[in-house]
Amino acid sequence: MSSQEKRVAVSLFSSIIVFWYFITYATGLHTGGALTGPDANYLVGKIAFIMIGIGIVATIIIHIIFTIIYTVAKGEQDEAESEDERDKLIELKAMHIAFVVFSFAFMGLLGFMAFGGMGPYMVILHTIGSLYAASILADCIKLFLYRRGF
Amino acid sequence: MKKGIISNNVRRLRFDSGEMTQQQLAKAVGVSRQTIVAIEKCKYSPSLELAFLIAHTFGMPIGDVFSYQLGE
Repeated sequence: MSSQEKRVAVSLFSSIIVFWYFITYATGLHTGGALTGPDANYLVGKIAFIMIGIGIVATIIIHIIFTIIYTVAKGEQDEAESEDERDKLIELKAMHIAFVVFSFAFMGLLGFMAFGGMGPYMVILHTIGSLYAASILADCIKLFLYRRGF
Repeated sequence: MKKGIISNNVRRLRFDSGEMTQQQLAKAVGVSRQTIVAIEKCKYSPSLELAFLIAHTFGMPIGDVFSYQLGE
């Protein structure tokens, strides 16, 4: 596994953890009826900021832990290589596909809202969830392209 | 539009150039070793500039390093 693939794998792992935390937290709020109460708009905004903060902190911590484990296990430091044209092309392809998927998800959510199937706060939460899902999908595509080539 | 296949002699030319390592070639053309590995395995088609750089490193015309065949 190259250093870029390891970096993508760590990013994927941290995205899954943050996504799982978000689903657990948002589901708890929804089942508790907090999203239909008077503080719903405040809570939804708070969730968005919390998830951004947690995402950044979790990614940093997981990267540090992975670097320590790798250094101890291999007895050498993983040399970070700078991004070259192949890395940029893979990143571009993965982001393109993830953007298309997210766009469809977002349009679907707006459709749900338009036909009265979902309230605005639920749409916002599902949009945040779709963003994380798209990020996970992008990382999976990157790993696939690194392994299979194109 | 027919899809073509790009093949190359990078691995053979590396060995013919004083047994140059993948890392040395990567450093000479400014990419990562994994990119050279992918090029040699035909899992990645380099950009025109990179292809010219590789050919220049071996001191050969680009047509002697890379070849293109139209698929059926």
